[in-house]
Amino acid sequence: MARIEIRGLGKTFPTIKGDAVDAISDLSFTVGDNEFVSIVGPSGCGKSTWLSIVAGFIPPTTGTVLIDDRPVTAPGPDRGVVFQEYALFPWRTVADNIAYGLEEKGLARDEVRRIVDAYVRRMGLAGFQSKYPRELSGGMKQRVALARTLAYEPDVLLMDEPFGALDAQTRELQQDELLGIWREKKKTVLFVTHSVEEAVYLSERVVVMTTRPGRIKSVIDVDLDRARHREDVVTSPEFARLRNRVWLDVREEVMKQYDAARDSAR
Amino acid sequence: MTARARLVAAVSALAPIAVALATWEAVTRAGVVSTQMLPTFSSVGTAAGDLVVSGVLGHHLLVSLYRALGGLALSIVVGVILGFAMATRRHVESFFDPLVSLLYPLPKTALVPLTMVWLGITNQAAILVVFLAGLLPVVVNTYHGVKRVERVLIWSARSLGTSERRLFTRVVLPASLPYIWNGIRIALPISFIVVISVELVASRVGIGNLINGYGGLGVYDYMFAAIFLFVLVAFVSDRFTVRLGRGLLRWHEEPSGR
Amino acid sequence: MIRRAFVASYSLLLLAAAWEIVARSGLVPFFFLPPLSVIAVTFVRDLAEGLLAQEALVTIFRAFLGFVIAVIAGVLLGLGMARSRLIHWFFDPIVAVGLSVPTLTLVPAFVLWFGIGHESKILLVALSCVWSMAVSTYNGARSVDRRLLWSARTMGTPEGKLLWKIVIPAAMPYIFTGMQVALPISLIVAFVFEMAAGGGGLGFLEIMAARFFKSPELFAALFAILLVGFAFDRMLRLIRSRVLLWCEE
Repeated sequence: MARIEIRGLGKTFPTIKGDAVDAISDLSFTVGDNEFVSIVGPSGCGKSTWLSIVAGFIPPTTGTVLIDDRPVTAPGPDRGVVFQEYALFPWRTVADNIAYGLEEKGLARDEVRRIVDAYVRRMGLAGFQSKYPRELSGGMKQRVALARTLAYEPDVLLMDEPFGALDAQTRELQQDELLGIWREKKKTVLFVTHSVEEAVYLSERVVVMTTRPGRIKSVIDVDLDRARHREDVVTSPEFARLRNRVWLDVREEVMKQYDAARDSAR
Repeated sequence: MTARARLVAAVSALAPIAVALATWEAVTRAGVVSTQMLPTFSSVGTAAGDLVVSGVLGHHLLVSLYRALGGLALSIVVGVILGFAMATRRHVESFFDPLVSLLYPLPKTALVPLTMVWLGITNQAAILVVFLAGLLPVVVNTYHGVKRVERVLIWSARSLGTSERRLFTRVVLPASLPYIWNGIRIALPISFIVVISVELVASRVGIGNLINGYGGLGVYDYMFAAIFLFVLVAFVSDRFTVRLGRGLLRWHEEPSGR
Repeated sequence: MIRRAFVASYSLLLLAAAWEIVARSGLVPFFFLPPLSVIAVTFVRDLAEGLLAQEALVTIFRAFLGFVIAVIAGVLLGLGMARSRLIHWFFDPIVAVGLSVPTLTLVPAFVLWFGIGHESKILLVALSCVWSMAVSTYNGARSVDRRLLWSARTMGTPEGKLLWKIVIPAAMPYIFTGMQVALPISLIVAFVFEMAAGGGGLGFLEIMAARFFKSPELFAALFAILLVGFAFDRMLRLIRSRVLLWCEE
C-alpha cells in the first residue's frame, strides 16, 4: 500500500541511426493508496516504458517518480514486478522461485519455508513445489511468478501484461484470482494491458495513452459493482458503456498510427 | 527401464567390443598377425593387470590427471571470469576480441615446444599448455551464455532485492550455466589430448611418457596395456561427464527452433 | 575502413609493440622471447629458402589426405549406420569409444606398425577424424524428413538414387559441421605426431628448434602453423557457403 506519484515523466531513446525517439513525454499522474489502475493504449505508446521507469529498471530522461514521496532511483523490494514472459528462474524449483525474494530479505530458513508453503497452497500449486519451470504449463508459471512477487510483500505491484500469454479461460481465472488477492492484501497496482475489457474489469481507473510520444489522453473512472459474479459484471450495461468509452479513445490513437504508417509509405 | 532391460542393453552395447577383442586374440594366436606387431590380447591383459596392481599405472595416471584437470580448472576459472567481463564491459570486449579471433585457429598443442623452452619438462609447462588450450572454448561459450541471459531475469532479480554485486552469482552464473558447461565439455577432451601430446614430446612422467617409454624399449605388451588402460579411463570419464551434465542441467529447457 | 580495422585490433598492435620493447630491453633472455622483428626476419628467410613451405606442405599433405580418407570412410559408415540396424548396433559402441578417447595415445603403436613416414601420420589422422564424420553423417541421414523420402519413392525413384538425390543433400549441413570439427583435429594430430616421432613436417621443425633453443625459428614455425590453421578454416567455410547455398542458416 503506497502512493505512486509521477511528475513530468519523459523518456527518450537513441536510435541506431543516431537520432532520438521520444517514447513517452510529459506524463504526470498519481496512483493512490491501494488503488488499482490500468494503462491501455496502442502498441508502442510507451506503456511498458512507463512501467519500467516506475520499477526502476531504466532511468527517466525528464521528470521523477515518487513512491510515498521517496524518489525512485533503482529497483527494489518495495515494488514487485510481474512480466508477461513470467521471468521465472529456470534453475530453481517452484518453491525456490517463490523463496527467492525472501532469501534476499535475509529471513530465517524456517520462516522462508513457512511463507512459501502458504503461498503454494494459496496459489493452487500444491504438489508442484519441486518441479522446475520447464515442467509447468503457462498458467502455472504465471501463478508461480505472482506468488514469487507477492511472497515478500511489496507495497506496489507493477504488472506488464501478465496474462498476455495465457489462453482465454486461464486468463479469466487469473484475473479473478488477482482481484481476490488485491482486496485481501491491499496493494497498489499499476497494470499494463492490451485488452480494454481486462482493464475495465479489473481497475478503478483506466489511463488511455496516446500514440508515440506517449502522453495521457484520458483517465476514465470505473465504478462497477464488483460484489457480483463475473458473468453479471461483464454482461451489465455499465460495463459495456465503460468498455466502449475506453475503446473509442484507444481506437482513435490506433487509427492515428495507421494513418501515419500509410502516409510514410507513400 | 527395468533392471533386466538395462542389463540386456549393457550386454548388447558391449558385445561388439567383445567381438573385436575376441578377433584380436584369435588373429594373434593363430599367427595371422605377428606378435611382434601386436601381442595377444591375453598377454596385454596380463600386463595391464600387472600395471594396475603394481601401482605403476596409478602413479603415472595421477600425474597426467593432475596436469589435465589442474590446467582445466584454471581455464574454467579464468575463462568464465574473462567471458563474463567481455560480455558485460564494452572495452574489455574490444580489447580481447581480436586476440581471441587471432588465436582461435591455432592448435594450442603447437605451444608445447614453446612451454618446453620456457618452463622445461615440468608439470608447470604441461599445466600452462592445458590452460591455454582450454581457455578459448570456455571464454567464447561463457561470453555467449552471458550475452543471452534474458533481461527480464536480471530485472526480476533486482526487483526481488538482489544487489548489483550479488547479481553475478545469484542470476548470471546459473542462467549461463548451460553455455558454460558446453565450453567445459569441449575443453575437457582438449585437456586430455594436450596432456598426452606434452607427455609424448616433453616429459619424464605421465601416461603418455609411459606408453612412449615401453614403445621405445620394445616392451609392446606393456605398451598396449598402458594404451588400453588409458583409453578406458578416458572413456569412463567422458561418460561420467555426460551424466554430470545431465544432472546439473536437468532444469534446462532447450530453446526450440532450428 | 582501414582506420576502423586499426581501432578494432588496437590491442594486437599494443601487444606487438610491448613484445618488441620487452624483448629488446634485455629484461628477458633472448631465447625466452626473441623480438618480433627478429622472428619476422627469420620467418621471411625460412620462407624464401623454401624450408617453411616444404615442411608446411608435408604437414598439410598428411593432414589433408588423412582428412579426406576420414570423410569418405566416415560418411560411408554413417550412412551404413543410418540404413542398417545391425551396422548401427555393431559400430555404435566403437564410435562412442573413438569419439571420447585421445587417439594420439596410439602414436607409439602407429610408429611400431607403420614407421615414422607419411603413412603412419595419414592413418592416425584418418582414425582420429572418422568418428566425428560418422556421427554427423548418421545424424544428418536420420534427420531427413520421412515425407521427402516417401514422396520420392511414390514418384518412382529407385532406392539407390534415393540415397544420392535426397539423403546425401539433406545430410550435407550435418556433414559439413562434422568436417568443421574434424579438420582442426587433422592438423593437430599430424602436427603432434611429427613433434613426438619425427619424420619431417612443421611439427618436427618446431620441436627441433625448441630442442636447440633456436627461438626465432620456433616462433616462425608456430606462426606458419597458425597460418595453415587459418587457411584451412577459411577454405572450409568458403566451400561450405558455396555448396550449401540452399541451406537456411
